[in-house]
Amino acid sequence: MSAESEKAELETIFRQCGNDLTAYFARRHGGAAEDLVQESFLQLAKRLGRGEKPRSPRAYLFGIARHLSMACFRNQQTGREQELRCEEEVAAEETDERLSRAREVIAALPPLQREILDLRFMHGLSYGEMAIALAVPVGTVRSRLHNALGLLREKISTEEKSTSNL
Amino acid sequence: MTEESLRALLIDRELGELTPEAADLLQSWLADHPGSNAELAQVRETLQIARETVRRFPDLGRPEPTVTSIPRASFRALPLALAASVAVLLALSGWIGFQAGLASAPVGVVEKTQIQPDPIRPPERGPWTKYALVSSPQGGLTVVRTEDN
Repeated sequence: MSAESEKAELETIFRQCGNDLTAYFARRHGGAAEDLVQESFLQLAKRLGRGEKPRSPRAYLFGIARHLSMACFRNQQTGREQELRCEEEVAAEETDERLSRAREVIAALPPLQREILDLRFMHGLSYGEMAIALAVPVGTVRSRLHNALGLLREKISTEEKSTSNL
Repeated sequence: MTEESLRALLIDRELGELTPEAADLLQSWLADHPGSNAELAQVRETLQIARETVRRFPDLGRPEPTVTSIPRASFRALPLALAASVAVLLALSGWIGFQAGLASAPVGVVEKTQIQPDPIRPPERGPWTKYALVSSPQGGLTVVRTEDN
């Protein structure tokens, strides 16, 4: 692939995915989002330069973003973590009680299921895109998502029954 | 159709993951089973709650490393006494086998490996000059008459 065509392809991908990727990093890493987006595209550029042709650039980028996010969390400063926790506690107080209970259910899920929920409902990735980003089969994505929603449904139903019995 | 299958298909349809043909088939089935509308309402409510919760709490989607390597089989250290017993048994069986091997060695093997001594030649003159002492095939020495006497 020539340098010019590679550059054009990257620009296209950036136009399609840049905002989503920025949102992904901003939610997790605040002000570091811009740097992380840039790093994601740098890694994508290297892979394209090696001749790799991802079927879904968007899913591929989210896979890269995921690894960068994990690395970022590992290196994160304690102060920033505490800041995020404080923000989270404030948000929890102001939140609908039903969402707080739903949060407990989701927080208790295995990490893969939680991440699938996030990628689907926050970032709109399809089953196929999530499978690429997470490096798992599509069937696994589907079954894990169904399982997570089933548990959430069960919790909501239990709470509704106990409320109606009062 | 089971309740679980229906719920799964409804989720897939609401998330836009069904093919157009599958979505049409499901829609026909739902039209023939009006009682399934309650299930559809529950699915939509669950999806809405999940969507709102995930958007409200970004920490929920924090990526964590997933195990991709094949886990090694865990090594369970044998108790010391058991390991010692196994070692003793192995040594004992080895010693027994060695002894058995020695005892069952075929006769003549040792003899065949013996170096045959040179025949003892008598002096050139005297009554014994026509005889010679040589090793016997049956073992030991024997006297033979020499041809030139």
